Amino acid sequence: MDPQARPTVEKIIALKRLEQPPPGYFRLLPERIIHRIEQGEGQSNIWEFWSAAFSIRPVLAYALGLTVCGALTAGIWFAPRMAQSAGIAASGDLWAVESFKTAAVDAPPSGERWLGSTNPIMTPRSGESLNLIPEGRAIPVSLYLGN
Amino acid sequence: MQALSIPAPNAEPAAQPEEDLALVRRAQREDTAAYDELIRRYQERIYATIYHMTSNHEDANDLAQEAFIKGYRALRSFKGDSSFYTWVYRIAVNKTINFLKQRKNRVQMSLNDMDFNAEHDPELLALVSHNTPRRDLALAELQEKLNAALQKLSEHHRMVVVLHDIQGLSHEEIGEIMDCNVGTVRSRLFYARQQLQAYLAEYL
Repeated sequence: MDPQARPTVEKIIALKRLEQPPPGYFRLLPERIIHRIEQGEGQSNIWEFWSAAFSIRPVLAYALGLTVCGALTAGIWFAPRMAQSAGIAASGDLWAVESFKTAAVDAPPSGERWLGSTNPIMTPRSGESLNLIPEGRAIPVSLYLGN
Repeated sequence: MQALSIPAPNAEPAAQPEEDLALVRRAQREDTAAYDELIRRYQERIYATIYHMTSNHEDANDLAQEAFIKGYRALRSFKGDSSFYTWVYRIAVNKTINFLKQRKNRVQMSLNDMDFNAEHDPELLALVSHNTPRRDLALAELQEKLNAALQKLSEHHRMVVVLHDIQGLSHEEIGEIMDCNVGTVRSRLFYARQQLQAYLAEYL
């Protein structure tokens, strides 16, 4: 073969242009795609919207990842300093929670005696089978006994 | 010696970008007829890119459809900073590369037939005839070896070869589509051609 006419690798690669899909393929393809679109295919929620955006521009995914990591790191870095400056952790233990006093909210007024119960009281009607009682009633009871 | 009668790449960028933009604006208002027109304009290039990447007609058919559907759904995010042509290419390219990464090591070729005229082209036959007297077999064999060689390249190297040497896109367009700079495109192309030269040495 004439060395001048030797095929280059580019020429051989260009043979790929000769490979053609079955006849009529491109006539039908748009119809198939539009049909699938009209069937609602590919409709996405917010997560799929972002995923689509990321697959079009993967750099967006990296940027978002970096931003989130940066925000997290900054949060961890600055949180103790902000807590100290606010004086919450004066004792040095950043996570110490100030003890709090519980209030006896439900306690009766001092000096008064109360009896209480929340046990359900069944009130069957006479003459009826217990099995026929449609439902029991729970009656919270508080009895004021005075001083 | 005459040049090979291989068709020139059909890769001239969107001939009417204003028309494309008008169609995109209509499609953004859910006018499927406008999107149908956009598909007709770019289906051959999108299909061919995916087909040359996968060497499989069925996969290319599925991925081309999915790329256009995804393009329609993502059309709201299209601001017109780039042409619709490069935008939809980018969707197809990323979709194909993701698919190929998942399919890794499960390459099953389903090749399209070569243009009938190719089998009678004297220059093309000269390319293969020194290997075997059965020219038709030799051409089919070359087609298969060429596709097998392409499949040995990494996805990114193969994509650059497909977009440049088969589709005829410029380095700048490829850089925009693949989100990388022109230097990267050039070096990938150089490396990929060297690899292909080694795989196809018997024909060179």
